[in-house]
Amino acid sequence: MALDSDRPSPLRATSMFERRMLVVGIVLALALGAMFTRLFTLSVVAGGEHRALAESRLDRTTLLPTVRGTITDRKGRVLAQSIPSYDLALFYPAINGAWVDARAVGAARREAGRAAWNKMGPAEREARIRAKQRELQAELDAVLAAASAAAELARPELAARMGDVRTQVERKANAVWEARLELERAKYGEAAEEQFDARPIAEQSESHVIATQLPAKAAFALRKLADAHPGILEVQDSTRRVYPWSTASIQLDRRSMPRPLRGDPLTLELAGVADHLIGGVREEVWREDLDRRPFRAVGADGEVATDLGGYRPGRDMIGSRGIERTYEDLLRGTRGRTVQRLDTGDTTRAEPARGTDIQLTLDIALQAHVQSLFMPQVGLAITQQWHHGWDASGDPKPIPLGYHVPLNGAVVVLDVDSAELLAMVSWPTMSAGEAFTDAERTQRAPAVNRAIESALPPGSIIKPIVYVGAVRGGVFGADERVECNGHYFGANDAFGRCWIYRKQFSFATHSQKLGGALDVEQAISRSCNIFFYTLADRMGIDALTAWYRDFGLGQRLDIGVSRREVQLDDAGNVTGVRIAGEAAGHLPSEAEAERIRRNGDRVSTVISGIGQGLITWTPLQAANAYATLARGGLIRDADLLRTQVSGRGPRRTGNLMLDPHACDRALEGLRQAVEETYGTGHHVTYEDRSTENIINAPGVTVWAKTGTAQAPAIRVDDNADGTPDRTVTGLEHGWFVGLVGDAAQDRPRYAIAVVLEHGGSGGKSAGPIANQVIRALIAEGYLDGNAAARPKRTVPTPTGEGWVEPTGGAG
Amino acid sequence: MTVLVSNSLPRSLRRERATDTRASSRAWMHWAWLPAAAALGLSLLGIAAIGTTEPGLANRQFGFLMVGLMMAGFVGAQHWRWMRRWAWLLFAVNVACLAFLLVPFVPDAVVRPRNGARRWINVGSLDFQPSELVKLTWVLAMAAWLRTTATVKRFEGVLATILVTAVPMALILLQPDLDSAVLFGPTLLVMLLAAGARLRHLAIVACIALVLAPCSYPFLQKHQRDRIDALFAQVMGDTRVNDGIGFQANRAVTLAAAGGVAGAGKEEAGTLIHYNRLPEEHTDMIFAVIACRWGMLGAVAVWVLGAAYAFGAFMVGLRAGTMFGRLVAVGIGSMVFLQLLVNTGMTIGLLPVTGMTLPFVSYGGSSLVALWITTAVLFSIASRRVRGFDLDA
Repeated sequence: MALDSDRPSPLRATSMFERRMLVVGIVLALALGAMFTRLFTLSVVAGGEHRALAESRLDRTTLLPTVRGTITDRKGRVLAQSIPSYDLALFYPAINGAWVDARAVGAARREAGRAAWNKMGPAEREARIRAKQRELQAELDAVLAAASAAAELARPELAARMGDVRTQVERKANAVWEARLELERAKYGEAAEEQFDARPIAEQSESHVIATQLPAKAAFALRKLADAHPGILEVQDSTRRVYPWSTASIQLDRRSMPRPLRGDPLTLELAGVADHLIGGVREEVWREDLDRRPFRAVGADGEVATDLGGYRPGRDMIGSRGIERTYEDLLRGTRGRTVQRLDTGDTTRAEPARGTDIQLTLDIALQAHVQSLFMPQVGLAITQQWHHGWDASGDPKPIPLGYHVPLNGAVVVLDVDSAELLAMVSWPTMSAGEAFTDAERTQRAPAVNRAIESALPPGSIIKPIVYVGAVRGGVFGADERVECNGHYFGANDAFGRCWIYRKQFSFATHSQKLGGALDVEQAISRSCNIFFYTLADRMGIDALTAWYRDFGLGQRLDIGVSRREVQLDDAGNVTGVRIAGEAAGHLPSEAEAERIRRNGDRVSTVISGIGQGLITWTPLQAANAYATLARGGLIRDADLLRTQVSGRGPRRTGNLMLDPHACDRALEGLRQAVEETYGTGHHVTYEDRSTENIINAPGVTVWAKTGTAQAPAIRVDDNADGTPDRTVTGLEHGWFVGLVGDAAQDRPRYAIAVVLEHGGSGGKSAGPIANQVIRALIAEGYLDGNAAARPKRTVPTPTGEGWVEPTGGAG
Repeated sequence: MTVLVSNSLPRSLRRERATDTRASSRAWMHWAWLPAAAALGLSLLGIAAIGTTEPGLANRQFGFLMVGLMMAGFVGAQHWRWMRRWAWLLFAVNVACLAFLLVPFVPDAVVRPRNGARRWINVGSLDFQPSELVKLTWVLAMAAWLRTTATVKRFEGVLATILVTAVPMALILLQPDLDSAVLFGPTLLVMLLAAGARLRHLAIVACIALVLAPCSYPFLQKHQRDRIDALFAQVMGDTRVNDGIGFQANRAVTLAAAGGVAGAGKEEAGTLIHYNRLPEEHTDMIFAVIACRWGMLGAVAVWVLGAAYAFGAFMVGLRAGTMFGRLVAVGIGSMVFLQLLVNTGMTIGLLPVTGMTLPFVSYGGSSLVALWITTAVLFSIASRRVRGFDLDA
């Protein structure tokens, strides 16, 4: 019941109403003010950013593939090159099937018509969508089948590659989400997990390359297919890698070869010239690539950074071996980008940055020539009886590995003045190894680049270096002489013998043969062991090791193939850095030298002087050491690259300041070893006792040392069943290392190192190969080879004092 | 002429003859022209904004405007007493329509579901949305009820109004439609205030509402809860929501801000909106289109027009000689202005994204026509004035 007292007067009511409405009005005005402030902040203060963000969504970006740099030899001949090609790429929704689902709803709706669709209940919609899904799946399968046919790819292979991409992308997505979740946990606490929104990553909407190097015809067919069925696949312009010298043909002149091998010119088809060095590329993108250099990386602050040169899941062109791999980052270049403005269609294009071209110091023609010498048909690199010889009664000496067994070997040719590598051949090459059976491959390891990765005992090759070291160290006079009585320790001691102090040579000694103590030239040319035991003993193991190290042993010369490999454990932590691609060889370590000193072990010391014991080196180090000797001690380590590349560490410099007179005498000893009949590298003897000079190249002077280094026993699998059947002992590596120059100039221009693993006698097995290498140098124009210009030589006689009481026998 | 007040019977029970026109006269200069002009301004602005991306729909909206003006002309010519007399009946019928929408066995020909919501009844070639009109009929009913101080001064009376309001609110919430439902509360508050409810009572109710509102959170549907969460997150600077549930809000904010001070112009704005994929660009997010095309100036124009509408409505209420008229005007003004505030607030990221449209501007026939009818009611109240003040009229 209303009471009069409840009713206010009209005037008062109005003012109460007015008051209240005023309050309401003020509240609303304040709300409006807040809105205005917010809009002001957005539009005026941050308007530019928002505009830029809105406009960025108008752009569609596509990537252009990288253009890989070219690898050339010293004369500009192309060794590896990229030529235009086509790639097939599938969009990710087509790879994981989401394409079907994305289209099914829209297609079902369009088919039913908007009116009918709105009327349908969920069950009927579901049924129609499912029917559409089946249709679309069939379409997708048909398109993929057509694509694989056009690309000449087996359907299961295509499915496998799609699976790979999917795995990689999903792995990446998980990693990205993990990283984001970590950030959000840090920012927002533990509750971040429930609220975490796993947004699809960019790779899940992009296209991924599935097949590369498609010919134009296939690309054309695929482009038509792509236009007919949008959203499934696309054809991208790309490149493919070609290696012009992956096969080569050569006509080999055999007139200068050892007599049993002579014949008409032999035409040879070579495969994989310098393939150890040049390397190759692979198509698959591996996990380590995506980890090392991803195209998109989520930084520490959550920002996404794009590296245009980075790797994306799918297929690409990535260096897998050799120079292609070592300098992958340089050769790769960066991708280009086209940005298309969706409304106007204007396109801006950023061209791909071409990768750096790399020029090697190799002469590929020389390399091919040298490689051809190793082919089995030629006969230089298989076991021959004249490597091992015949005994006094004319019976062939046993060949440990068997007759005409293919051997492994390596050749390094180095320019003395510039220290550039002209040729570096390792046999068997990777291409030759492709024809091997599994057992052969295990036995012969074609993937190893023996020129730089195989460390073998130097044997007698090291002797001239010991001599100049002893002179430099002041423990031996340049003209001193040493008596060779066949043994350094006791007469019956098994160790410390000279190589001719044996039953088959009737326990001869060099002093006996020469009628007195030997000087260095005689010692080198005849390869007397006692002389060098003496020198090594005088130097001591420490000085000798240090001297070897100065000459480049026991370390990587870093010619440009080294690859820094960071080793990671399963959790991704760095456990070490391995420098792969070159072997350092071995020298006695601190501990080993300490043990030798402590035990008073003079055997180990003296055999170090003849290149046995704890010392190993690679053919590269051999050539490099001889080049250093030829330069009088100036250190300039071998180099494979002519192009300046960053990331190469500082190289060794310095001068060992060898005594010039000692150098001359050492070189003279080397010359005699090859050019005088008493030299160990002078001739090969055949069954009928006739001889032939090992080095028969005209117009050149050769200073070289033969070496026969004892090798450990090996186990041989004869019947290729995977288990070794017999152990072969008595093996020796054959070395022939030296210098060659024009006779007219009479100074060494090139260093050559040849090794034939398990070849036996160095002079007989490796020597003929070296001879052919010299002929190859002449053929390629590096040496003149003019016989008429050869000067007469005289054998220098010793001057001054230097006669040293032989110390062999004393403790 | 004074008005005689009889104490013998409560006023509400006295029958008033429809032909009793002694107490009111027709006027032509009145405040209702301001809301009408503002409404016209907003409608035209809306047509232009819709035309930025959907010229076809702009033409249809123009047609709806014509229909709306015609209906408004018809309604505005009526005396508001009719509305007072039939307020409860109209309200009841409207609520029945709302309930009808929820009846499960109704065929789709009559209740056409759209996007999972059942909001429209098919009447011939048009879809009629009961929830738009119920706002008007509810205001009328409330105004008819609260015009006597009997109800409004007692706490039980206040509660009774809340209960009655809860009926259409609940029915709308069940559609599901969070948006329209939230307008009732504040409007009721303003109307109670205007009617003279005691501030004590209102304070108590407000406190209870503030306490209860978070409790309703679990009862909301998931997408409604998500939107509230997204808003909280966005305001706190959490950018994670930008691509998910906050997607709609974020795009709108970006586009609204992209307009800068003076806007991007028709072509540019159209392009930006298209490629930024602003959803609902001609309905809920029309304000973003306006801000993008005409910049902050355009947005301010919307607010100015809206404020003009509300101000005009309040002035109509002030000048109305009857409590009924006052309450109706205040109710209409606050409801329309609140809707405008909520929509613009959600577009620029201050409020959760709801499905609320911008009055007069957003595309939508039934909404536009209903709003013009609402404006016509204002017109009717303003043009037929009572001399003096009759509290009970």
